[in-house]
Amino acid sequence: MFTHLNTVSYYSFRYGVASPSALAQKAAELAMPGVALVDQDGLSGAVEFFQACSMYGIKAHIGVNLPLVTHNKTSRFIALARDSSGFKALNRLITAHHEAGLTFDVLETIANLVSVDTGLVILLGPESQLAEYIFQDRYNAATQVISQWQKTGFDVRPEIVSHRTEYVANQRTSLYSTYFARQYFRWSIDCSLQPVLSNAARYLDAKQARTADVLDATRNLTTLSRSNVSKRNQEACLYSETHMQKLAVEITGDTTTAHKLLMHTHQLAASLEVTSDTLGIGKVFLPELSVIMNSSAHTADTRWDSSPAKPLTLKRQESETHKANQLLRDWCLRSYSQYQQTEESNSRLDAELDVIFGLGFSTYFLTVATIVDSIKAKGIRVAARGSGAGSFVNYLLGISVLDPLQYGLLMERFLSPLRNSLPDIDIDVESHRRLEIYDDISERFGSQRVAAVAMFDTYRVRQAIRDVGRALGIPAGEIGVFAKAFPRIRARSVRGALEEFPELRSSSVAKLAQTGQLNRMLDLVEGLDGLPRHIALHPCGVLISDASFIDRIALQTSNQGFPLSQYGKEDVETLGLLKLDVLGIRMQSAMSYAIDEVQRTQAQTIALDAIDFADSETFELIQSTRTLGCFQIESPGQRELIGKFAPDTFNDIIIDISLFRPGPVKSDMITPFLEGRHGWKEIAYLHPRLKGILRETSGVVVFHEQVIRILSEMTSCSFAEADLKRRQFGDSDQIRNLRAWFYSSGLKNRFDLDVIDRVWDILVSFASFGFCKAHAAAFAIPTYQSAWLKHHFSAAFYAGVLTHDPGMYPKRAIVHDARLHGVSVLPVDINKSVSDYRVEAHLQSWAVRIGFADIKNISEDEVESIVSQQPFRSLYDFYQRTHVSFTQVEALISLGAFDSLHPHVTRRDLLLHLHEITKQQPDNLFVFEPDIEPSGLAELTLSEKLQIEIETLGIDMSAHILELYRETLARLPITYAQDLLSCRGGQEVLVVGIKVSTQTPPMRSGKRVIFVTLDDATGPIDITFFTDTQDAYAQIIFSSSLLLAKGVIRRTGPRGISLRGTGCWDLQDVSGDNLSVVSLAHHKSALSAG
Amino acid sequence: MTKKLDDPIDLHMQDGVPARFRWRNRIFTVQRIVMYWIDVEPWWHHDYEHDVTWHIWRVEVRCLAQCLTLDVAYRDSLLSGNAFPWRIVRIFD
Repeated sequence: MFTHLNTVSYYSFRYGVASPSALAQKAAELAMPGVALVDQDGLSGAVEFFQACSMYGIKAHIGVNLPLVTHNKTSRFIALARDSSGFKALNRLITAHHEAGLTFDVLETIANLVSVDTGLVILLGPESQLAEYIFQDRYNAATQVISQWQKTGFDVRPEIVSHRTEYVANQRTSLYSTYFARQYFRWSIDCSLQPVLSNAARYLDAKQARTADVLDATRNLTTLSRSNVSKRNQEACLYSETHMQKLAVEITGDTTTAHKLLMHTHQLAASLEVTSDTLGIGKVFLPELSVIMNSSAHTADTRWDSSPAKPLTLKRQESETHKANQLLRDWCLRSYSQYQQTEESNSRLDAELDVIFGLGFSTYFLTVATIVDSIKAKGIRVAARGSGAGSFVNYLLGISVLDPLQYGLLMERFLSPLRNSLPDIDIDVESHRRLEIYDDISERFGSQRVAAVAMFDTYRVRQAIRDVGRALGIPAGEIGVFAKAFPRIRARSVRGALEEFPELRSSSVAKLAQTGQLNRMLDLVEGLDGLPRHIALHPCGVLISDASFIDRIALQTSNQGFPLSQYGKEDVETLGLLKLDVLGIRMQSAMSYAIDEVQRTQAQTIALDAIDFADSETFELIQSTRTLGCFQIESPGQRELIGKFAPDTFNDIIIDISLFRPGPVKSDMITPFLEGRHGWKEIAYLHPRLKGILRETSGVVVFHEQVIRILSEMTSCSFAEADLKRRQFGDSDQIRNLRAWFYSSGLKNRFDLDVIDRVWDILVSFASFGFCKAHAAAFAIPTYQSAWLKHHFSAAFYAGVLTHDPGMYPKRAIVHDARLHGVSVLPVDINKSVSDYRVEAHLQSWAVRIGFADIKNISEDEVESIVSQQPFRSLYDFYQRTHVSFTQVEALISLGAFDSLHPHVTRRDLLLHLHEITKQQPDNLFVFEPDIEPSGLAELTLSEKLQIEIETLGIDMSAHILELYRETLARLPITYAQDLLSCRGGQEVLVVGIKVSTQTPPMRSGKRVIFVTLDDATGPIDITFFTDTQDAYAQIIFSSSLLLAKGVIRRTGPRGISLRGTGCWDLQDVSGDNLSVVSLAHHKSALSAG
Repeated sequence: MTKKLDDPIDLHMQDGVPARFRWRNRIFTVQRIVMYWIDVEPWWHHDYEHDVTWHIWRVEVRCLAQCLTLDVAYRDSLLSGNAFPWRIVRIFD
């Protein structure tokens, strides 16, 4: 009965190799009674490990491997939780370690905090200070260490390990030799200690050992070599009991003593008892009502003014629940009194409150409402996303903006009496103020109750190639090129990608293959697949809990300084913690910025959350597909879809967003929808009784809500039950029972067998890709709002988008879109520009002024120094009063920032002048400002200006970059974007432009398709390259930015045009003398022939 | 003083450890196992397939009246499972 008490998973970052589940599985396969997980520095793998062990029916022991600093030397020890009190101690230990590192003083403090008679078990293995002293034959020091440890009150055990390394005096790898293990064991027995045996396992079996070697090299940022690899063999495996027995005999020297060692190990393992209760699995830990009330009292919210509640001193849990329920009802009723009440809304409110009360989740809603209120009070834009938009209570509490009754959204998709798990409310906020909100929540609820959720940066193909390459000593430049050539895919798909993508078969790969390194490298890259590299702050999750939080969750501090739970987002749900996803959305920042700009320049207040959702001009803009910069509908694929679809209501936008997803595209739901929508084909409803449910989507099942309603209609079950059944569709184990239930209930409800057959088929195929309408509806709000702003307050909208950069397009593409939209974009001006993009009155209209912040290498200090000193009289004045570096002043001059101050001289004159003033000695300063005389130097040419602008700003301000190629282009039969609409389908055209995006979205066929968008100064051009053209052109598409492309016109809708790419060249390769490229000559003749 | 060697020997194991072997036409009997260790050759220096694990015993042996300490070893391969004959790799004077 052997139990491994020292096993690490890959949550010992860049050290362990196996997943927690794999360890549990292997231990179960080896018929062991249990296994321990003792990862370095944390418990990130603990929940997965515990659940896997439960599944395999073995005991899970939880512990941690922590560093301890004594006399400036770091050693390591293992702490195992013996029971619940030990688990508390473990969490506090880990938190203390991450706060300040561990010393004996800290250990004693922690020992005092928890009851130590059971508490923790400490293992001191080969990496401990104790072992070190024995190794050095310093027995007195060793005895002292033991007594120091014993003073903490914890149960202390020497941990005997042999990896069968060679014993060489003074060499640290000897700590893992059998020879030393015997020495350590004998000393322990002599001191009447009870040593235990472990194998300090890092991997499941020897096959994973090479990955461990690579991790060693990666951790140390070196190449593989004997000195950088921590072990000299492959013995750190999760070995079988038989093997461990043999090892015990090897170490102790005889079977009787070996038996003793094994017995101690077994007895210790048997005494450890960590249960799901210990971890808090299956319970819910919401903040105390009193805490919510106290925190809410700080808000400007008026809810409390008329609330009867005084600070509570509730003793009993039940009365606290009762109080929370009452409070929630009060809050809802307050806004409900202004709602246009109907019978439906009355019963909906009652039903939702009943469910919430039944589940005991009132506190949850109160917490979220409090937080949303406080975000609003800070003037930060906030919007609920996700299924939460389906709840009427959320609407009444102001958590979501949409009335779910108006759009047929269901609460059951969000919260159900049949699922006892905390619901998920996600809120979108302005991205640049997200951390402010974290601080606010932390302050309101107390830092002891609040932490961020962790996420793990895992190895994907590029990072794996880089790390393996470095470990193998391949030059960084070479490996960088190779890694970057790959798309962002899993590391384990590396071989498949090499076969699939023609552009990867480039010279760098070929070179590796020739040296014979390729195969080994690919093996190692695959070995790193999915291994977490480090813990990081999840981009949105915030945990809010009660006073027991710090006893249940180990915390560390994120790079940004926030307390960070070590658990990922699935785990915190398992642990019953309230997780609020606060997502930073750049579009919210952009819109907020736009609103502020309108207020600043036009003294007009926009209530964006109260605008009319049926504004015909906004829909005209959307239908025109000129939606660059708008939320969700700016991508080439979406523009193609809205071109075909022509949405004209808010509900249409919801449908559009739901359709433009991999699933619906893959299963071709779009075609039948459009056929029905435009009346090209008669809509065939599945059954008259389902017509009402499917009318909005022309008979096609698009939404989860529709599935719920169909199931309910056909089987007479409740929505809650229907949602539960809906969730089972994806589960192959449940599908048979589900089918039996559906057929029998359907027949009972007098549906014909063939109808049932057809509906069943649709539901089965739908299961994998349906979309929650509430979720899409929540997305549709900023989509509509951004389009509304783009139309009504274009300049402010562009200023916001350019400042916060929310979308997929480079800023230069947005600038050109602004111009096409009739909004002038004004160059950087030393007196008029500020840091960000601003709205400015210009020629009786509103324009956007480019700011300083995007100038390459300019520092925030420099920008601040300029803006705080404005206005300037002259370049000389500027130079005197600011501390901007010489190169930045040069850049500003070259960009024309001083043109308005010195209209009569050229930029070259100004540069010359700058050199003159900088040459002056301080004591020889001009008494008067020197004049700038025109020196006769010619002004920069357009081409020079453009080059400077692209280089220093990334934006071609003076003209479109294609101006540089005007001569070349004049000699080619180019069709421009503005004229594409008048081309007929099937016609082959030559287009040109700067690449603004490439996308390779998932496709129906599973084959890769490359979407390219070019901008040619008259508008965007979307080109699709299918597999047959990729061999020849993929590399050019991905590597060049100015492209000349040949394609066949596809008409996709009333305003929709897309090209099927048939050829592509780098414009720079064909300009000038090189124009007679054969393929182009061929192309010309093809054009004239066509 | 130690001397490196690479002499093949004919070795007999008992209870999983070396017991006696024949070397240069003489029989040596193992008196004591001093230590045992496993060493994997650095795989990253070699070909893709390179995979060599050494199993090494340091033993005290006797032949007639002569006593010696030496390292006997064999190598095998994790992936292929092939094992190769025993040899003496080091001798202590």
